[in-house]
Amino acid sequence: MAANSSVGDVSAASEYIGGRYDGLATGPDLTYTFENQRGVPYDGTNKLARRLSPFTFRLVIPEIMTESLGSTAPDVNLLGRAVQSAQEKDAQANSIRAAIGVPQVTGTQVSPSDVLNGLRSTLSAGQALQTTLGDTERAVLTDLVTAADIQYQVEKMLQVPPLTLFVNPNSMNITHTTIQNRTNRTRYGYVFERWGEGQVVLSISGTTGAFVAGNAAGQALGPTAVGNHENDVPTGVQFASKRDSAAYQQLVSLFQIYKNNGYIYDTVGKSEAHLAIGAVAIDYDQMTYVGNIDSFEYTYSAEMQHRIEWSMEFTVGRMYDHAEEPVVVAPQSTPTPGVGSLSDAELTRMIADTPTRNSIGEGNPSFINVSGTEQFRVDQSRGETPLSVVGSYFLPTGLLG
Amino acid sequence: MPDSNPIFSGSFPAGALDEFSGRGVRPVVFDIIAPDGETSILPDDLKLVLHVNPSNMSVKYQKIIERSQTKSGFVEQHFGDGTQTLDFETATGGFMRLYTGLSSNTSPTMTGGTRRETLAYNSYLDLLALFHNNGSVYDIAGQVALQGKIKITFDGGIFFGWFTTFSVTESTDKPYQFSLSAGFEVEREIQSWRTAVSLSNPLISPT
Repeated sequence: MAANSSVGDVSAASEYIGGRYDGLATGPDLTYTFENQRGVPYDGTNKLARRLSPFTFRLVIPEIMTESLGSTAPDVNLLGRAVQSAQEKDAQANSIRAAIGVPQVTGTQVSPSDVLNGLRSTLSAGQALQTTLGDTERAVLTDLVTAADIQYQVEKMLQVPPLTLFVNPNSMNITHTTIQNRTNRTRYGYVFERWGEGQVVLSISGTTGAFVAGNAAGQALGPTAVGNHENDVPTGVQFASKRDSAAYQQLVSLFQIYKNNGYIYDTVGKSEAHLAIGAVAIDYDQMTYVGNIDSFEYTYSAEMQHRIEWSMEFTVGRMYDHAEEPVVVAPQSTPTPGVGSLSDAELTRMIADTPTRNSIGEGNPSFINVSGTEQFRVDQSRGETPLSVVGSYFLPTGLLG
Repeated sequence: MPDSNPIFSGSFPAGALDEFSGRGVRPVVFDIIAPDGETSILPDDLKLVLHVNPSNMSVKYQKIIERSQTKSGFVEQHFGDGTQTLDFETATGGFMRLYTGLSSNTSPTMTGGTRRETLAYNSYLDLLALFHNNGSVYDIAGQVALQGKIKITFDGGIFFGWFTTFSVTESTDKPYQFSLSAGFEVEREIQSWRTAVSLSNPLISPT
C-alpha cells in the first residue's frame, strides 16, 4: 500500500470477492461454505456516489483485549475506520496482537494469512488432542484451546476489511429516547423524575443492487445446444444470477457481519456462551456509531424479483462525531464567485474540497458533468455498452418461474 | 409420470430438479426429515414443490440482548441468537379445470366437478398436509411419538425447522385462488454461498 494510503483505500477487485469475510465466526445456528463461482460478479452501482458518501460497517474487537496496554491502548472503536491511515491501523493492530500473544503482522516478513494459519493450526491441534484423549469436559475460559479460539477470532476481526455498501440504505432512522417520567402525582402536582437518556437506536433499511452477473468473454454467447444446463453460468439481470452477483454477495457479507456482531464465539464447544463481546461500528456522515445489531431481516418478494430488501435495528453504545472544521455553515456565496466575493482562504478551501477528475474514478481521469455524476471512461465509446459488461444472454425469468 | 406435454402444469413441472433446468428458476423445496435429524423421509422425486413459488419470503433474525441502566451507564448482556423465522406469503394459483376454465364451484352435484379437482387446489392440500405433519411421527392414537423436522431448500440455502402457523384466506379480491401465509421457525441454517477467488478485471459499471 502507498505510504499515505488509508484503511478505506481497498482495491476495486477486493470489493467483489464475496468470500472475503470467510472464516468469521457466526454462531452455532449457521453453517456456511463458499464455493468458487465461474461467472463474474457485476457491479452496476455508481461508485462515485459511495465514494462521496460512504456507508460503512466494520467489526470492533472486544475492548477487554487492550486492557493490559493501559493508557497506551488504542481506541478499538476507531480502529480501522476508513479515514485512518493504514500505517496507524497496522501499528495499533500490532500493539493489540502483542497484548494477546498473537504474532505481529509485518507485511513483508509475516503475512496476515500466515498468522491466521498459525493460529488455526494451534486451535485445530488442541481440538485433535482433546479428541484423542476422549476428554469431553474442559474449562471454558482458562483452557489453552479456548485461548487459541479467542486469538484466532480477534485476529480475524483485525484482518477483515470494512464493508462499504454498494448501495447506501434508503432509510436510516435515529431514535433518541429519554428515561424519565412525570406520572407520579402528589398533593402538590406531578413529580418529574429523570434518569438521563436511553441508548440511541438506528433503524436502517436498504436494498441490494440488481442480481446481475457476467461471463468470460469467450462464453459470452451462452449455451448453444439443448441438453443439461446444470453447470451453465447464469448471466444478465435475472434471479438465477443471484448467487453469482456482486449485489447478493455483499448482502451475504452484511449478513455475516450481523451474525458475528463483534462477538467472540465459543467455536470449540459450540455453545452460546460468548467468550468476549465486541461491537459493530457504522461510519457515516462523519459520525461513528458503535454498538450491536439487534435484528436483521431480508425479504424475497415477487414484486422485486431481482433484488432483496433488508432492514436492521442497531443499538448504539457510543457515538463519535468526527466532523471536520468548519462545523458551522459558512455564509452563503455564489457558486460562480466573482472577483472579491470570496477571500483567498475561502477560495483555497473550496478548491481543496472540490473533487477533481483525478480524485475520483480510482485515480483514472473521468468526465464529470454538472451534477457530479461520473460519466463514461475515456476508453469506452459513448452510446454503446461494451460486450464485456453485458455478458451473455439476458433471460428475464424470475422467482416465480 | 406426468404427460410430457400437459395441458396444465405448475411452475415447476420437473419439481425440485427444475433448479437445474437452465430456465433460471429456483423452486422452494420442502422435505421431511426423520427424527434422527438427517434422513430424508420423502423420496427424491416426491419432494414437495408448490404449484407456484411463494410471493414473499422473509427471513428474520434477532439477537437476545438485555440492557440495564446503571449509575455508570448501560450494562449489556448478550445471550446469542434468538429465534429465527421464515414468513411465507403465497397464493395457490388459479383453480383451473379442463373445459370449464377457472372454477370456484364447490358443489359436485350441480356441475359434476369442483375446484377441488385442480392442480392448484391439490398443491394447497399438499402444503396443508405438510403443515399437519410438521416432521412428527404419530402413534396409533394420533399422539406425537417422535419428532423430526421440516427442511426447506431454496437457491443454495437450507433451513431446518418447523411450521408454527398456517392460514388460508378466500377473498373476493382474489377469486379462483386462496391466499396462504405460513410461519416457520428455523432451528438450523446451512448456506452455500459463492465467491470469486480473485478478480483481476471485475465487471463494473461505467458510471
